[in-house]
Amino acid sequence: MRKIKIKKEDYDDLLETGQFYLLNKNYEKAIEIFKKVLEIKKDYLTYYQLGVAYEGLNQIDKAKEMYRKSLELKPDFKEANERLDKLVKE
Amino acid sequence: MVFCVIGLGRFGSQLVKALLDEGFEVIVIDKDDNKVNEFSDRVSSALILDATDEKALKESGINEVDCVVVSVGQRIDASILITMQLKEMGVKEVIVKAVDELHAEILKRIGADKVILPEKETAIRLAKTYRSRRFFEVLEVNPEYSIAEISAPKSFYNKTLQELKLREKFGITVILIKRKTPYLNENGIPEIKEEVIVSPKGEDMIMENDILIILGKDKDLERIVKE
Repeated sequence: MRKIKIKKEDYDDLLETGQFYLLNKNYEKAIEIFKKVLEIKKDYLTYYQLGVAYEGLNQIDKAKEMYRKSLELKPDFKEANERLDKLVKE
Repeated sequence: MVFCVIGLGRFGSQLVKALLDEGFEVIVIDKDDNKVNEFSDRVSSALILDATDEKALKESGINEVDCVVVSVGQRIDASILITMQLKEMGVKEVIVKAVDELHAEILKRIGADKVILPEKETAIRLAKTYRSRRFFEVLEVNPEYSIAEISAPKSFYNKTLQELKLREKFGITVILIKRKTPYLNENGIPEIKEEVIVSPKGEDMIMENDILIILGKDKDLERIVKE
């Protein structure tokens, strides 16, 4: 996989960049960045967003896995619960 | 892709044959040695064991398999226990044959990735579905025609249906386009908006990562996923 150079290695900036790519439907880049964010810190919101990116790519098994990981860290996370429920029912 | 089929009843053995015909690597498990021996020369591994025995199941190395199909006949309790064990062991995809709707519901709730209520030819259909992972779901209309759910081939991106001329070139009809678009909700958390275009018109455009539901002859459907 191609490495992306990011000037500010700062955690928040990375997360924001990942979210930018996600919202612009550039899922591959979003995934690359969220994985990098997870190397720094395993956070429920990053796992969740990684799940959304995988879902965008129609990689449903991976999306489900990420939503589950997010819920392990924050079981009452509403958005992750909703997405996972939806995918399981599909 | 490596499959493991647990339970070699009528459905299980039909599925194993179909998977082998499609060129997949298959591992078979049954507690009846006669049934296992029937396949021993064609499959990569044939194991005689009781899959409800967690220890034996673990030792079989089944957690390395891509997809496990549980088809233990009418034994509802066994299929539930085996499914739970497989998910706990981290098997990526567990497909389970259910005997009725209630059984199917239980299996879904304990984490089965796919539950099938077998009808005629389902085993063969299932094997065909896996020939290309781009096929998500296939529904047989009659022996010649099917409806399939596929992810849009890259060569279709940013083109209208009119430009693509799918009916003329491939003999297929797009029944529906499914599109997922991420957006930020009121809490600043990304969510997905799902848009469905039913019976799309010529000017409708296929976008990246769209899912298409298409109708056509089996051979034409297969041709399109190779695009």
